[in-house]
Order: sequence, then structure tokens, then C-alpha cells
Amino acid sequence: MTRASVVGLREGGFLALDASAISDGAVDLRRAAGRVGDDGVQVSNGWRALTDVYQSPVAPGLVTAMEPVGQVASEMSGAMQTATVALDDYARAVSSLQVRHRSVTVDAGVFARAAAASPDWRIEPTLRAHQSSLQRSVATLESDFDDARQQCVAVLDGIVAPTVQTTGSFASPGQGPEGEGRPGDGWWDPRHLFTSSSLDAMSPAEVNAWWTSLSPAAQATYLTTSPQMIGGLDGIPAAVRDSANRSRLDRELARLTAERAAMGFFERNVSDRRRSDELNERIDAIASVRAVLDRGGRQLLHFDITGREVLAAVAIGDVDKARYVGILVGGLTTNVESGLAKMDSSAERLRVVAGTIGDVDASEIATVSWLAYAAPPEFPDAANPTFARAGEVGLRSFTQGLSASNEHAPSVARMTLGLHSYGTLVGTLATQTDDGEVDSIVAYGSPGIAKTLPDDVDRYWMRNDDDPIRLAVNSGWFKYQPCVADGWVELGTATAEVDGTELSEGEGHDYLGEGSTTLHNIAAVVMGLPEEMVLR
Amino acid sequence: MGVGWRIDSAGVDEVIARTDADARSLSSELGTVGATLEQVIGQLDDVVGAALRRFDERWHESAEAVDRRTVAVVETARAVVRDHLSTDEEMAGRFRRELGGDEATGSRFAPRVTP
Repeated sequence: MTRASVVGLREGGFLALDASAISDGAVDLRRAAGRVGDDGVQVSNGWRALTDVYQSPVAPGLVTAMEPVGQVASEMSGAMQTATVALDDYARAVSSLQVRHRSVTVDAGVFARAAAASPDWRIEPTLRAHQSSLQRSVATLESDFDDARQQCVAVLDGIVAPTVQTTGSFASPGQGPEGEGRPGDGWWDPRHLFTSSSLDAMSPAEVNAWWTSLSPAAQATYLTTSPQMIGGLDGIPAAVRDSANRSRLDRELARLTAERAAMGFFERNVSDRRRSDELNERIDAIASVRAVLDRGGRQLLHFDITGREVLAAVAIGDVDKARYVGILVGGLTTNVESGLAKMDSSAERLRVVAGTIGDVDASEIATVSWLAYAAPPEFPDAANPTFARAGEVGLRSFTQGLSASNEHAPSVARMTLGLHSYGTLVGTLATQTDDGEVDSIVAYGSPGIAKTLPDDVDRYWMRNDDDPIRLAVNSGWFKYQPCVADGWVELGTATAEVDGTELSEGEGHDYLGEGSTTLHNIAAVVMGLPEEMVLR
Repeated sequence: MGVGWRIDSAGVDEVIARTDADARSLSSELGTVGATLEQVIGQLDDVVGAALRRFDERWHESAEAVDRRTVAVVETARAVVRDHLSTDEEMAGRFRRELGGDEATGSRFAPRVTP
């Protein structure tokens, strides 16, 4: 009788395994997997520097597209660590079994010698018991080996390998062409990468839908890398636009101030002088925006210095949460540099009076000073509709954007355009073919208007008796004037008493003076309260 | 409504080259893991070896996907930047080079030429 026949282990069992080699392999795997994780993170992190050297609407999408590489590589590393732990446990179990097997083998040798010395060992109770004990030990070894294997297999089969998308869009604002780039179609299609042209073609409502579909991380990336785009994009939530525009304000002010300082006191030539004047105007305009924002409770909804003039739109209150939004559009000679502070003060008075008339909390009302178009700089320019044509597109898009981002349903929210002077042409043109969710218009000090307006836009107008704009009207600068036949309701400008309060007569070209009948009327239009209006 | 386009082509080349190198290193390590897995499988019994083989196949799919994604993003960036630069050349004459910052943006999404 041999020891092996007594122990009786199967060929190819744990005895054939090299536990140390398995353990060493696990160590090698763990190290290599760690390097995979590190390298993956390095790829993603290093790639983020792209936006330092490349700024465009596409750049954030490219950075976002690489983020999963680091994340998935880390997860892959983690998955491999789990596998190596299972292999380590398995190697330890095998090693333990091999040690126990040696003990059983020694015991089997003792038994074999005793059995050889006793021909009748099969009826010898002590030897029979010894044999049974050995057989149980062997069975336990085999059973434990099976358990160790099953345990290791269960862990390995339970590890889910991370996946990374290789098809479809990385950061597309809209759906790709039908049938292209969907998961499973093969190679990822770069045509779906977020492109400026696709964004440019989107309506404010589509922009809003695209923005809200982005993850917070992607939104933060866009906000950080493309503040000019985000701040100027109608449909983006007001708070986001405000943040984006403010982030550029001080930076641009510092840059222009430094450039002016670098020019020194004396300009070398005509070109220098022109640039110096331009810098001074821009610096003053940006400083004016900063001063208005410092009044508090403002949102910088538009800030653009790409053209000849600095353009801006500043709201008082939160335009996305307000139920009543009044947008003041400036007219002849109005610009950010000299007009924003006054316009903002008027917007503040309007907000207060509107709240009083409507008996609603101030948070329900937002007023906007919209100076986001280049108004005619000189009086004779008021006869030129070119400025209005340039402004109408931006104003329409702006109102559509506010409607898209407002938290209230369009049927609940109320949007009014307060159009002053030449701004009446801009505002009526902007609402002529598409009202952009504008509910009402009030035109004051108007030299003329666009003829046709949608039926669902309420329309009111006022003109002070001593308003010099009457010269332009009488000279027939514009073909169309507000009239009853077109649905216009003329409001009063003279002194009046409303609920015991004396209202003063409007003066000259000013309609938003404190305590005036005209301010009261504009506020009543904003609140949609015809019964509060003072008629002509 | 201007958008700040800005490109430092040398800087972009550097970022792409560095990422390329990082991606090659990642790819190499993925290969190392694959080879090591193969060695370890050879050390195991049939049952555990088969389980590790199944894990290896899943790991390999992930590794390939990571590799492809990395290459796709870098190649897309190359194409986008190349397209941007060619657009720049075409439009360069339409911008006022002496201006900096946002001012030099001529239209809403027009690329900007940086000095």
C-alpha cells in the first residue's frame, strides 16, 4: 500500500499549482493596472489644458469628450485590483491546502507502515479509524479546493468591466442626422461634435433645451472656457449669463485700461489718438456697467464689446423667476457710456411703481435696461431705419430667450416692451412678424413705428405735449404713427389723480420721471392693468 | 453677441503631442496588463483559468474602447484645429488685427486671429 493510494488525490488538483507564481502574477497585474489608472488620469488631465490654448465653442466639447478616458481607466484599474485580490486569496488557499496536504501525507505514511505490519489491519478498529480519518482529511482538502476555486470564480465573474462610449456624440447640442453615430454603428462620428454653426442655427428655446440637457460638469466647462459665448446666447438661464458676463467685465476693463496706460500721455499719431479716444469711451462704458451692477440686485444679461460701441442689457430682479418682465428699449443717442445709469434708475422706479399698482412682491417683477443695439448717435440719424433694422433681430432673440428660460409658463408670465423714442421703431419691428412672446408694448416719445403688429400684442402709446420728437413726427420722418385703427390706445400724459395720489405731467422727451403720469401708465401696462391706466 | 475664438496653434500642437505621448503610454500599459493576464492564466487550473479568461475578454473590450476613444478625440481635435486655422487664413483680412480680447471678434461665431 502506497501513501498515494491511501491519500488518493486527483491528478491536476491543487498539488499541480504554483501558488507563489500565481501570487507573483497578481502583484504584476496590480502594478500594471495601477499604471493604467495613472496614465488614463494623465491623459484626461493633460487634455484639459487644451482650453488654455484653444478657445472656441468646440473646445469645451473636446475636453469633455476626453474626460471618460481617465474615469474609465481608473475604473478598469479598480476592476483589476479586485481581480488580483481574488487571485491572491486563491493563491493563499492553494498554498494552505498544499501545507495541509503535506501533513496528511506524513500521517498517511505512518498509517501505511502500520498497515504493512498488520496483515489484518482491515479488521483492526484503531487502524480502520485511522484510515477513515485520513479519507475525511483528503475529502476535506478536495472540498476546500473546490470552495476556493468557486470563490475565486464568483469574484472574477462578478467584476463588471467599465464601458466607454466610442460612438455617437460627445457633446452635441442636438440630435445627429438620422441613422448616424448611434451606439453600435461603429466608429464615433466627429460630425456630431458640438459645432458653432449648429449652435448658431438654434432658436433660443432650442438653446435652452440644449443647455438644460448638459451635465453640471459640462455646463461648468462651457461657463469657464466660453463665457463670451454663454453670456451672449439667448436661451441660456439668466443667472448663468450674468455669471459669464460678469467674469469678462473686470477682465476686459483691466485689459483696456492697461492698453491705454501703455500708450502714455502723448499720442504719436492720428491713429493713436483715434485708438485712445476709442479706449476712453470703452473704459467709461464698462465702468458704467460696473457702477450699475454695484447698485446690487442686478443681472448682466448682455455684454458685448465686439462692435464700435459697448452693448449691454442689465436687469433688476431675476428675469427667470419674475412673472412680470418689463424691457426698456432706449432710443436716439442712448448708449451704455452715458445712458445706462439713468436708464437703470428709471427701470428701478418702474419696478417700484409696478409693484405698488399691481400689489405684488418685488420679486415678481423684473425690469431690464436693454442697450444691446447701436442707437442713432445724432438727431438727424433718427430718420434712418438702418439702426432699428440692426437692433430688431437682437431684441426679438432676447425676448424669445427670456421666455424660454423663464420659470413660469408663457400663459402666466407677462412680458412688456417699454419703447422710448427711436426704440419704438426697434421694438415694433422686432415684434412685427414674431412677437417673441411679448404680451404688450408701450411706445412713448415715438418718431414712428412699424405698421403691423400681431393681434395678440396689446399696444399703448403716449407723447408729451412739449416733446421735441413732435418735430420729427410733423416732418413725416416715418410713414406710420400709432393710430386707433391699428389697435393702439393712447394714454394720457397730463397731471392726474389716481387713488388720492397726484401725478405730474410728463416733461419733454422724458417719460419715466418720478411721480409722473407717464411712469404710472407704463407701470400699469407692465402689470397688464388697463383699469389703472390714465387715458388721454 | 460675440464669441471669443482664440487659438494658439503652437500651444495646441504641444497639448496634442503631450496627450499623444500619454495615450501611447496608456496603450502600452493596457498591453502589459493583457500579456500578464495571459501568463497568470497559464498558471491556473482549468476552472479558475477559464474565469480569468472571461474577465480578460471583458477587460480587453474596455481597453480597446479607451484606446479608440482617446485616438478619436485627439484626431478630432487635430481636424477641428486644422479647419479653424484654414478658416482663420481665409478670414484674417476681415478682422482688425490691432485689437485684442473680445473686440477682435467680427461676428457671433467668427474665428479670431490672435497675434
